[in-house]
Amino acid sequence: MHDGAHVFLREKCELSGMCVETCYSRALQMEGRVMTVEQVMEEVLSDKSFYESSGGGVTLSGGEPALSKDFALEILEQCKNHQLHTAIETCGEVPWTSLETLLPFTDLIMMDIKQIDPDKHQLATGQPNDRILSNARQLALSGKTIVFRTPVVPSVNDSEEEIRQIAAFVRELIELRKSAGQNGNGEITYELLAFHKLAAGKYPSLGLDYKARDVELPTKEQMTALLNAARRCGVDASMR
Amino acid sequence: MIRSDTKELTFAERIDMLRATKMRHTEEKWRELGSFDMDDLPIMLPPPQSRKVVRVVSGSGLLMVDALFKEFTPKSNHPSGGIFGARACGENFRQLIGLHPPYVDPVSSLAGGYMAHFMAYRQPAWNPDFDFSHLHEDQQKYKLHHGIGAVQHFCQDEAIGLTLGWGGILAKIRHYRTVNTDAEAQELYDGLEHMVLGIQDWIARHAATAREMAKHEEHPQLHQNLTDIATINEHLVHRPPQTFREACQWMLYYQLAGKMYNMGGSLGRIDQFLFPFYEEDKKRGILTDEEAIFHVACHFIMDTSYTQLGGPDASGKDTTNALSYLVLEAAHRLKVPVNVGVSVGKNIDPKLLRRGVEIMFEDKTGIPKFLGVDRTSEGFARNGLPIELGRQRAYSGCHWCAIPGREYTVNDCVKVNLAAVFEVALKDMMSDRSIEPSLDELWRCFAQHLRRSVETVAQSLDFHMDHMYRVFPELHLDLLCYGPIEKGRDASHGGVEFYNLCVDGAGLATVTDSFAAIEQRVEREKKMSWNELMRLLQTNWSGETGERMRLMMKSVPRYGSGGSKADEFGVKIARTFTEIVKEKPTPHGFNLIPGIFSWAATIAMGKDVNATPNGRYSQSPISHGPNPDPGFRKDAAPTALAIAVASVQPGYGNTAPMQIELDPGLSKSNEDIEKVVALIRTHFELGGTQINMNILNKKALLEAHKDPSLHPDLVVRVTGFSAYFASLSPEMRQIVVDRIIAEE
Repeated sequence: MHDGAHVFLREKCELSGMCVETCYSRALQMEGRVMTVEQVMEEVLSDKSFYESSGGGVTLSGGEPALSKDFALEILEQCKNHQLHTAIETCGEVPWTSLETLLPFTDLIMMDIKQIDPDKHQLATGQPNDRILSNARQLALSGKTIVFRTPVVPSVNDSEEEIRQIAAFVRELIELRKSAGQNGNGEITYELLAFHKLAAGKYPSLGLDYKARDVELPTKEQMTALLNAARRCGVDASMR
Repeated sequence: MIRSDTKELTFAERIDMLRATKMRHTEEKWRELGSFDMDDLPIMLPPPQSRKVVRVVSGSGLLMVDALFKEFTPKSNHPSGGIFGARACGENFRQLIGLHPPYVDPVSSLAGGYMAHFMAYRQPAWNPDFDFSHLHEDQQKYKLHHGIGAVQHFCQDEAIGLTLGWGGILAKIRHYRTVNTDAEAQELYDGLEHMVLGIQDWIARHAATAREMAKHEEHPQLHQNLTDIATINEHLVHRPPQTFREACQWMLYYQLAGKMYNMGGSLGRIDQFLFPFYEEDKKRGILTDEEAIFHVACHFIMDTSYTQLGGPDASGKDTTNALSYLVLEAAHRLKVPVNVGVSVGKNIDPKLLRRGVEIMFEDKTGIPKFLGVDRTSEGFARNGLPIELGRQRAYSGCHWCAIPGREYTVNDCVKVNLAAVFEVALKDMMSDRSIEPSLDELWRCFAQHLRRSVETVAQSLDFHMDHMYRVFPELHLDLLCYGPIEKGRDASHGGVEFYNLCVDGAGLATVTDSFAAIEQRVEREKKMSWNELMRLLQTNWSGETGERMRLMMKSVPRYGSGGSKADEFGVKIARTFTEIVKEKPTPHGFNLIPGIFSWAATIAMGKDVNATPNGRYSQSPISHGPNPDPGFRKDAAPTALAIAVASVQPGYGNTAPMQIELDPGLSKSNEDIEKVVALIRTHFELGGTQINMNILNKKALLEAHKDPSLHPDLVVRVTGFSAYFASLSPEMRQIVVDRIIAEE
């Protein structure tokens, strides 16, 4: 405490959570908690009736579930044992073997493709995209239902040409699956996600600067134009 | 404005005009009477020169401000100044309705509107000759809403009236007067005759007024409308209705008379009893669906009574019909507070639910609500009664159902304030030097006092059943029940076939979270002693560490969080309450049915309770129905709420309704609609009985909270009832706002 105000010294924090335990006003809260597979499953199964009535299921999301593949695998396997629909969201920038391990217990894969141009991808995300595109091809050959997704970020990947390139790649994957004789299994579709700023509040909590503060959100008209560009490539595309 | 041209008005334009008129009346009430935390009673104020503003007790037992006709001086038949018994009540009611001016709006297809509550003139409400001071001590100790003097809150069968008409009802009374010649029956018949004659005179005056207005009406369409109203009303003084419009008109008078007599608000299954008229008119080609919607809308604008759409017949077959959809559509077009419940069940038309959810998304008025008809029917059968009867129970009040015309219930009138019982138990344990305070001891004390409080309620209800017919009989509902006229007995005194008296628990989350907070902080972690807890509760969390300790108690995992101690206590308390209520009938043998519901009385009941260990301040509201308190879980998952509320259902046919506020950001997409449909269905499959839902415009709500005049037409489902947000007291508005914010 300093002058009646709580001061958080991030560099001295050992993540003990003791400050949170005694903060009864809940001004301080721990984000995330350590859980066992059993604890996760207990929580998951409490909502089983709702999944059944709504056609919903369990999605392992990010972070990146493939980075915790053993934990993810156990959860997915148990979900399948309980006849639950399962999905993962992945950025694709993981070893293929990690994704491959999860596939037998995964019904739906949602995977980001943010850019086709390798330089632009590197610039925007700090990572190359060759492994991502390679994983996308492998996934296409798996026959699973896949939604490839592009978060449309103004000034990063919001031109019709950039979206057209990604959609064309998705089209290629559909053809690849067909030519490999995998037609008739899961569908491959494409989805555009409009950039939003819901994460803005999390950055200061992490002691980070939110650089997208001044980025303008894409308009509905822009998104519709991009959607049309994607559809012209012959893919089943949608936006949200 | 209407008369300045001769342009044909569309139904949509007429509905807009009716809505604007209602808004004008409502705003006048706000100015004259202030806020009211109850149903949007569509009462209009008496003309200014006749108006006198008073404080009275409402039909649900809450204090309210009301307006009287200065000209009416009731004729008391008792030294206390009260009006007691069928004859005096009937006679005085007839006098009141006799000076009540007719109300005819040339835009509406129906005449009628009401300006007076007879109950406001009946002071005192209870006859002091019937002394129940022997019950006072425990009634006071547990702050019980004990039910003595409770009025209406059961359901007539409107079909009786639609078949007989006023002339037929009068003839029936006069016939049975010759059959049942005992004094009790004769007095009842006197009262009933006064009521019918008063209503007939009122209708005749409406007919004359409409005829007179028509003479001066230059707008051809409205002239014709007024002429039609006059003709219809001239017929309806005596004969039963013959067309759909006449049936709506008949029903409106009956309902308005009930509102006037004892603030009755049950309508029942409108899509069933009006359907023969709809079908016949359609066959004859004299009614379009648009006209049917308009007539129902004209009814709803003047009467917000509770009605059920769809649902099973006695055999379990779905009764949803074309009219079910038209009635829903009328509510949708009006966008004023109406109380329409959509049936949801295994065999019930799923399209009706889907349409209800679509309207919920589109209108954002908390309309309709959803009824788990399978669960309530099955539960009712657990009372040892045939399930066929359970299926016939009609939704007809905030959270309740009753068999139309056959069942007396005092639904929603009897509340065991669990928080008050808990407070007594805690004090009792702490004052007993012979026992070491512990959670187990506290539970033992709580269960013991809970049993005592239910016993007190049972004795109170017996007292009510013994005397009510000589205090304030149910003259209005008696007219359309099976038995009262035939037997010469008021419904509260043996007139009807079934007696299933409601006993609701209230403040569940307040108590579950209090037990959980004590378990964790006092017993397990030993962060506070029992004595320290008592000191903090007695001083309303004052002292240097008071607020910190309050927050400490408040921050334990709460009921609704899922798998917590508080959740266990929720189930345990609900089960114990249910078992105690069902342990035995009242000493006189009346069946009791448990429910969990607090209605809008969370504020009033909270004022009776000091600070509680869940971190609640003294006199602040208790928790709402079976719901967890707002903020029960960080993610406010609707599924967690649905599971929690389903887990505490008493399960004997009366409800423990889930109040749920959904994210206003939900789109109207098919996917979102389907998700909400699935949530509703699954809650009922898990055992839930009723859902009150809001999908609100949060921005408008927050603006209206600061300044109600900015959004006078904003409608919310407060609890079982819906109301204009601006009508509510600042305290009740805060409760609604807290719920919405907590769901973010």
